[in-house]
Amino acid sequence: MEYVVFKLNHENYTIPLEKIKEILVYSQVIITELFAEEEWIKGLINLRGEVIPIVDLRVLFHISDTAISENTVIIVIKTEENKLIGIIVDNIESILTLDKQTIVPAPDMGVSIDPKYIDGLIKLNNEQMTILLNIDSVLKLEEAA
Amino acid sequence: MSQEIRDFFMEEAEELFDNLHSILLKNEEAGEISPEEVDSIFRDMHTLKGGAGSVELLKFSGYTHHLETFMDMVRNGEIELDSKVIDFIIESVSTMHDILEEEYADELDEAEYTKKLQQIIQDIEQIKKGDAPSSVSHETVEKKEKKVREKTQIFGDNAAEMIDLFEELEDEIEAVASGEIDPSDAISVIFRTIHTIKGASQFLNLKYFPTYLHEVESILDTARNGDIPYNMTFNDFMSKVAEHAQRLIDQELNSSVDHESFHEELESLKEEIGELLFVLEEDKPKEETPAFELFNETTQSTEKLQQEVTPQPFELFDETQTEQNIESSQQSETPMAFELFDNDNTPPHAEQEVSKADVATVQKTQQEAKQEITQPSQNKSDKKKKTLSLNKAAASTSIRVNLDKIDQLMNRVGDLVITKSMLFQFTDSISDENLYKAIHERLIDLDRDIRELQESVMSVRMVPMESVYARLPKMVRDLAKKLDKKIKFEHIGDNVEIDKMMVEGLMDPLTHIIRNSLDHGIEKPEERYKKGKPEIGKLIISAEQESGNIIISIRDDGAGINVDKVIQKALDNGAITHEELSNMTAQDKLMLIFHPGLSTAESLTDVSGRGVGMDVVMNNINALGGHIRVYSKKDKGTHIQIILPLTLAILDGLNVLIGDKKFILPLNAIVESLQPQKHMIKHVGENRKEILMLRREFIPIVRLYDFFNIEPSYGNLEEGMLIVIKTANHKVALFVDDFLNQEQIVVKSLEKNYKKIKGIGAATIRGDGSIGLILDVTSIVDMYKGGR
Repeated sequence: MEYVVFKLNHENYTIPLEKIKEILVYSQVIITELFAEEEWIKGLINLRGEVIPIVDLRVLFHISDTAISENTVIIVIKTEENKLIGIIVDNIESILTLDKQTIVPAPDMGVSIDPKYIDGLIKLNNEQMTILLNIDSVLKLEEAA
Repeated sequence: MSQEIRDFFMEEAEELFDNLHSILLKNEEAGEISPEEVDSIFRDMHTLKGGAGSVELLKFSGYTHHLETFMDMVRNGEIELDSKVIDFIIESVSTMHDILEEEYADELDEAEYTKKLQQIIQDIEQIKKGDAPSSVSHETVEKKEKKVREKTQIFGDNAAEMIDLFEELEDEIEAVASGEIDPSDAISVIFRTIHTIKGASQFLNLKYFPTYLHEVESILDTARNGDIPYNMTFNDFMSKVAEHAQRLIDQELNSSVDHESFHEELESLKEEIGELLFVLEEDKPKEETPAFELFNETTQSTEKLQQEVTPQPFELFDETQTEQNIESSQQSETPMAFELFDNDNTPPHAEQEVSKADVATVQKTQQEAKQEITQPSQNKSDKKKKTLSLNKAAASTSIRVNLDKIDQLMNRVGDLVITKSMLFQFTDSISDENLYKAIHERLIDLDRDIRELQESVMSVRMVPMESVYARLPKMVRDLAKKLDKKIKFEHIGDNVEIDKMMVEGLMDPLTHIIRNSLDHGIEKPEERYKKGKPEIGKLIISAEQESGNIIISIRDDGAGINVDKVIQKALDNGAITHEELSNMTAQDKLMLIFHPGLSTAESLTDVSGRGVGMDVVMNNINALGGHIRVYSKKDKGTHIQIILPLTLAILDGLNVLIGDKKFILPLNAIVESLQPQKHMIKHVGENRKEILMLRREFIPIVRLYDFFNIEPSYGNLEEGMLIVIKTANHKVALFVDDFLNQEQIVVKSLEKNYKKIKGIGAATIRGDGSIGLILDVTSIVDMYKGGR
């Protein structure tokens, strides 16, 4: 299976490539702010006539540095409920193909984000680790808070 | 066989079934069905059979054939209708439906089908034995059937046919008058033409005209049987009648005929017939006296005279006589005699659609109608005009279009609207004054055209509520039977128009609500008796249009919602906490019934009670941009209100400014806007709530910036603007910093990819490609009332 690795505040995260519908450059979209909504909902964008909510994963994962750079992208995800939701990430790192066997269960401790968002850990070639996100559970917006 | 054509047939079949059900259920209680309705049932079945045959749904077609034959016998009076027979028809139609669905899905069990087929043949035989001597053999019916089938060409266009028929009639009468044809030879031709016109008129959904013609047909029939002579006097009379009839049909198409004026028309016709008969009777004895004994003459002719001067009692027999005559002439291979069955060949949806065309004609020709009313005596000079309106009816026939295609059209219009606003925005950047003006002017033309285009497309999508109601009576009836309850179901507002797109989304919620109402709301008869309520429960569904909304109400007089039980269940399930409960209004508590996983049914039934359903209701209605309100009183009943926007697609909005953020307020909600003066603002209550006093009306003020947590430009009410809005029941004044331009916006659902946002009803795409937010007036008002 193919996976996409992206960075959030120097940390690597991975999601299956098949979940991704599209990748947009942050500086090229206009985000309409929503008010009185959760802080991690950045706003709404128009993707060819579709109204799509944008989730700032960094806020959701309690990362304080939410600066925008020219590498900042929005990854549009197609969730299992068939909704299109954009997530803001610092930059796309790489695309890799790997076996399911290389995924190891995440330890209960030492991970900064809610364990229900994590499907496991993947060891990268350069000895780094990456967190395999359960993006569907991350984007269950009704439940998240 | 292409799937598409099959699907097409299925769609049509559903409509036909809806029609069948509604006729049958309407008459179930009464235990009788009027001849016109029997005709209509027969036609529907005939169309179903024919259509099914052509898309190779042969099993269904085969089954339907038997019922059709049966209905034909009912139609011919060979089988008497009683409640047992009606029940049999209802059951059989249900079975028909099942077979159709099974065969369509390719799940038809051969053995099962054969059993059903044998059953219906047996049933029909039994009914036949139990009733009336079957004078017409089965063979004749079969033969007739075959001939009908052979006649494959279908006229869809009854209005055009009508014009032809009237011309034919005039020619025939003229031929007699000029001596070309002997009157006695002409009578059967004229009779048949009148009969055909009568038949054809039923497809134009006319009410009065056929009754009028029936009268004429009766007297002609008497002449045809030789009881009275058809001579020049009669021919003159017919020429007058033909003229009257044409005027009447046009008047009716223009809907300028009411019950009273028609009655006058009918009375005068009867009078004329009476006079005619009198004159003819005068003539007749002179010719025939020698052949009669004096004694015979007095008894017979006075008897005859009495019968004929009062044609009413004949009506019943005329119908059957006519049928038999047609049959006999058919056997003698007279081609004209098929005309009656040609009509049967026309699919009933053509009937409906022609009637729609009529509506259009009515609107178009309203002016003409007025003219005709003012000069009813000038028949001759109006003749051209009359034919014209029939011609119009003939021309505006309709076609069936797949809903997806209309959607695509609507989407394209939506795109146009967006592009247009982009263009408008672009023109602002043009610095050349002349160029700007030139482009701007043309853009305004374009704007108008797009608006008109959009309205036309919208109107295509509007359908009467009837189409929503059509399936409900059967459902209620079936459920009531299953649940052992007695229910009287009423629907109000059949003609209220609703976006076809919403009809689809509305069916599920309505079904769920009605199921719940029947299952949990309305009690069993004995229980109702104990409570001192009538044993028959009431379920009323109504629809009305109110200030840009469609409000659909479902009311029952059942047990009401047991709020305490709902709350207990919600607490037990962890759906709400005690703390949340303490903050809930009565309305909030009732709304818990829509919470996923809550059901107060004491026993699970196969009707409802698994706790799924009511949350679907909420979701679906929200997806349609609507809201639900619930009112309930113990043992008095429950009232569920569904408030829907008139259309989903495009609305007019007003841009308002809150701080530096733009929002869109739907124009249809706005009552007025004003810059308030100090003396208009009052403070009431402990919280010093702000109230706008406007011409003796006290309207609560909502500061929108507070609502959305936006830094406002003005905190002082007198500096900003107040916009008074109205929702279903309340008025509220919204405080905004300013309002900007008005624009047409394409509504996009938020729930499709996201969820409901409080205070925001939907989104739109602005000229610059960004998302605009449309304020949800109803939820703002509700939340304000909830204490914010």
